[in-house]
Amino acid sequence: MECTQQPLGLDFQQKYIYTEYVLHSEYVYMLNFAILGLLSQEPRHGYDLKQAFEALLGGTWPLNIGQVYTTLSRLERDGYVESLIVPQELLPDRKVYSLTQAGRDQLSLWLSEPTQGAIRLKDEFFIKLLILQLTNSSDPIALIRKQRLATMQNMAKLTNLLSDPDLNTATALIIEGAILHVEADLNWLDRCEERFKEGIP
Amino acid sequence: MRAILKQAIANLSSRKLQIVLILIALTAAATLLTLALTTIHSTQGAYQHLFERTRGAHLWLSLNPALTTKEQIHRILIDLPGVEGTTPIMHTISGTLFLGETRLGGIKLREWPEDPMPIDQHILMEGRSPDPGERMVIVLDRDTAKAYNTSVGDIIEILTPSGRVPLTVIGLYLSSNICPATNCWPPVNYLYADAFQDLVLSTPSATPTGFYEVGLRLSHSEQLLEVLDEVEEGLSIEAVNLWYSWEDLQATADGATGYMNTLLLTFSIIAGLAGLFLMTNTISGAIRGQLRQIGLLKTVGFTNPQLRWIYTVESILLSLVSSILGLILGGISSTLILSSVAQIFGEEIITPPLWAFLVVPCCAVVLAVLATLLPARRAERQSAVEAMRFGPERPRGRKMHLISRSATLMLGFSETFSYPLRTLVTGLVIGMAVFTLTAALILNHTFNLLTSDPKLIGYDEDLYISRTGYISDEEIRDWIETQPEIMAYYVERWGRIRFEGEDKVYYARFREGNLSSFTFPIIDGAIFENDNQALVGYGHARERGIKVGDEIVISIEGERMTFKVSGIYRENSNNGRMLILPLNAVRKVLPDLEVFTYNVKLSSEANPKIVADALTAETNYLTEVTIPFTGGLPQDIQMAKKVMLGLSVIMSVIASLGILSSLWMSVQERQRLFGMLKAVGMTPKEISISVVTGALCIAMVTVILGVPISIVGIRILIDIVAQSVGFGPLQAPVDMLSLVSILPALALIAILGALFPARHAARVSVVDMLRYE
Amino acid sequence: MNPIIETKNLQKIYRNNGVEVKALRGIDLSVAEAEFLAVMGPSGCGKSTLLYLLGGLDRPTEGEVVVNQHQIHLLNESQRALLRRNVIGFVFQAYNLIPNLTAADNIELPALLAGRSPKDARERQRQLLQSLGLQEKETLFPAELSGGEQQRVAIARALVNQPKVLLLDEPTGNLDTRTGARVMEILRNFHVQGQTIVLVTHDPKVASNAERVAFMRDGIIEDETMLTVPGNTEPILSHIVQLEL
Repeated sequence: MECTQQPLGLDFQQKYIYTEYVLHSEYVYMLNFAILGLLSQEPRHGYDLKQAFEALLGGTWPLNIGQVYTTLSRLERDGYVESLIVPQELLPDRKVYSLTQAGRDQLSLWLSEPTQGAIRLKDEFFIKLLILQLTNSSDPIALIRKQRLATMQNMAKLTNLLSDPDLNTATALIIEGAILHVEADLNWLDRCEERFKEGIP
Repeated sequence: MRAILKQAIANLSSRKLQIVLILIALTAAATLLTLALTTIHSTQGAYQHLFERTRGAHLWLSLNPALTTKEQIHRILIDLPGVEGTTPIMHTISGTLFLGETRLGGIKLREWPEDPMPIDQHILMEGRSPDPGERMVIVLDRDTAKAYNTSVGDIIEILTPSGRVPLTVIGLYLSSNICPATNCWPPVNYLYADAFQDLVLSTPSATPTGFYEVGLRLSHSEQLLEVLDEVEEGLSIEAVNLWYSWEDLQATADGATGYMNTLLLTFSIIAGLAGLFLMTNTISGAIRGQLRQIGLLKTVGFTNPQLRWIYTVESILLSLVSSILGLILGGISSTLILSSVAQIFGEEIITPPLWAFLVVPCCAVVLAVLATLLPARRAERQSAVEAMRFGPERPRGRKMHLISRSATLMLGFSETFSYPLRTLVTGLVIGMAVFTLTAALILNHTFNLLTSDPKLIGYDEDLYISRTGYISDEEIRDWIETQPEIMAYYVERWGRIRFEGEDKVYYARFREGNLSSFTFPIIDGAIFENDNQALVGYGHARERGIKVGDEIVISIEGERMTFKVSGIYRENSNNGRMLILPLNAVRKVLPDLEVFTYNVKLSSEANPKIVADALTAETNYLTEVTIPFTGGLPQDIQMAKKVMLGLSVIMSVIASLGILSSLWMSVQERQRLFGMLKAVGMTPKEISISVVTGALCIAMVTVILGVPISIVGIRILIDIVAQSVGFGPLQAPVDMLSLVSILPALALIAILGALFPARHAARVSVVDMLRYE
Repeated sequence: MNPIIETKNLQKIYRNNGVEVKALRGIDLSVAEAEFLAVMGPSGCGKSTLLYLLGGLDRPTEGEVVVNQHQIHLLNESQRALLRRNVIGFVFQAYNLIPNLTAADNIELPALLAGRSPKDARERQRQLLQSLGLQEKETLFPAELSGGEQQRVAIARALVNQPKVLLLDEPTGNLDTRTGARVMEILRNFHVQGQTIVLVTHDPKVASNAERVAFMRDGIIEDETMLTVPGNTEPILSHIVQLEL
């Protein structure tokens, strides 16, 4: 993954490494699994995938078709996806992608694991939930509960950090901000659980 | 107004327990008041009733048969203006009655007048009157019969010159000539006229015995003294031995229930005060608990006066209800308690007078208004905004400090002082009970002391010997002087005196003998040393301002005599209005004066009964020997004791209620605190102990302060009462040992009152109190 | 090693005007000595009820509660009160300090109740006030103290008899975030010194101070997790991101 490391103009401390990922990379990470998920429904070609993805997210996330193809080729290279060329009358040949067993395994793994470490939870977890519902493969409630536990662990780590007596003010503020975000996430998880229990998608 | 009433009733129904407590206390007070009023009314009213029923005589004359005749008297009386009617002129004599071997005692015998008597009618309570010609029968005065346990059909004996003669009791009568108390003229009993002549009047002595008695009914009772003057002018002053008026009899009747009235009235006031304090406490507690609601009412538009009215109306409702209950209870209990009083006047029952039905509720309303006055002010002062303030509970009362190791005790103490005013008022309620108990103990002790040590009230004699006309003075003196057990004696004779320039006749004692061997109850000064000195009874001394060293001028049988006052003494009879004069001095005026009474002092080992029996046997019952104070406590003192006991119980209950009410309020207010304490580890038992400790604290402080104050107050009261009845100053004894018993008694009362609130406190649910909602 | 708190099938049913409310529907909980447990859940899930039962303030309808080998469910009210003196310390959300006692007296009260001499009690009280940073506030009354100060006094009061277990009900519920954080810091310090702590809260920030968290919902414990996962030293801050969509 390409990444750009930029110091944020803050004191460097050995224990912590502040990095800033470009939008790009995390974004790409999520796209991998989204595509795997969509492919688990049925084999699709590239354009189909783009449309399905955008529909899934209600048009809030317009995809660049180039990104789709890049992701697909990487997935194929890694063995999670295979392609078939389907000849068509009147139109150029179409590449149709489908999941390999490895791809299926990876997808299952992803779907069953809580999102570790991420701070802006809702993006990745949200997609995970959507895919889960789409594929009907397992109980979303169980996932939400697991996520909650993991998030709590994150919260605990942050709180621990905050208890350091030598903490620098700015650092403390960043941590507190993060704590508030995590708290918001937990509230959102509660909300998700409520809604899923009620049965409204 | 309706709104006010509605609110008042709503308030009341939310405080049911306290309402009940107040009702009980106030009803007790109302009952006592009703009883007191009924008693007062009954003595005057009932006697009046009897007097009118029997067409009683306003003026009674006792005339000397040696100086006048029946015809003479009759002539004078017929023409007297202002006289509505008279009784027949009746011959009366002193006599002795026996029942079997028992000498019943001295009585007056009189010939039975013709029936029906226009004036001073006799009501036959039982049996019948003598038929013409019946001789061996006697009609007894009802009270005499009761006192001597005699009834119709019994055979009693009278002493005649020829020995004892049996008579059958055929009837018991009642007239307005009552004698309910022990201190009055002996009651009269009737023989048929002929029998009277035969059996009684034929005596060996030369002097005609007895006297003529006649009763006059006046058309205007105020003219009594004028009528008396006329009589004395017509006959002669000396012929009139003595006279007494219906007012004297009324006073006697009053005296019987006199101090019952005082007791009941005093303690109904005390119970009323207790009720007042109880109400004040409860109302202010209720207001304190309703501050929020008051604020609400204010915002809704209730003005200050209206608020005050709500609480006043509440109290008035309560006190009216209890006054009605009290009237009913008082009426019932007066019927029961006063039945003995009723009987004295020949009434069946005694009911509360009509005006009591007005007075009691009025007092109740006044009480209610008073009780609400102060607390209601506080309700007014409550700011609407302040009451509606939302927020955590303000710390109430004063700050506590952990003063001791025991948190339990600390809690108890702190409660006592956290609301000083409420504690004070509760203390006052308890104080009323303390006062009552102290009074009961002191009175009880005083009664016991006075009746067990006659010396205190002036009786230092071991025996009274009284001779009839059938045995001579020398014989008695011989006998007395030969008895080794008799250490000393003096003779006494009662006579009549008038103060210079006055008409009213008083009695005096003429004494002679070993006076120095006796301890007379001399309050000031000393016994007379020569024939020119005299002792003055306290009653006279007080009324006339006579002091030791003064000179008094009196007339005896018309002769003027001057005496120097050597001392003032405590006189039991006639409200202290008597004198003691040296017999020798009186002999100058009345040389033929005979004595019939010998007062004897025995040696300390001698048994009075043995000596008395010996003399009686020796003289063949021609003497009458009385041992003072062998009859046990007189009836009115017994009654007084019972009344004090009843009052003590009532006041103790009220005190217990006061504690119950006060503690209940405080427990209700402190429920949260109890929850907190339980959360912190206090056991329910410890909590209830702390509540009871609070009660004990108040009670003990009240006892420690209240008992000395009560003792002082009661002794002053007793002194005042004793002086006003002519008894003289009386220092009531203080028995510290029995007074100390008030402490545990009140501790018990406090604990009883505290039990219920303590239980409630212990049962507070921590979870309910402290749950954060 | 025996757990210092253990519950088996703990149930509590309230009766409200004839309607039955099942507050706890079978809780099995285990707390080891010197552990710091947080019980989290939305309001109405029964976590306060659970705490009251652990503290002996109420009796279970069914099931067992064993604290320091005392079978609480079998004890009567007096015995439970004694337990609260010596074995269990309880801190309420509303502090519930006795309003007309000074801070010092409030703290000393349980010690005196337990029979310690006034001198001992005062000594211990001073120690606690010191360690809680409240030395100058000894003689003040609760109404004169701030929320945070009152809560610290409440904690001191709960700790005065060195209880085996410290129970706290929403300890920061009435406090602002900053003060709340300070109170949590105090609790962490006591935990480090070996104090067993169980607290209930709806606030994840508070719960995250514990070693272990249990999630309650509708009267049962749904999930549990250790919060200090050993070996997971991945710096979390590597994931702090400013994401702008």
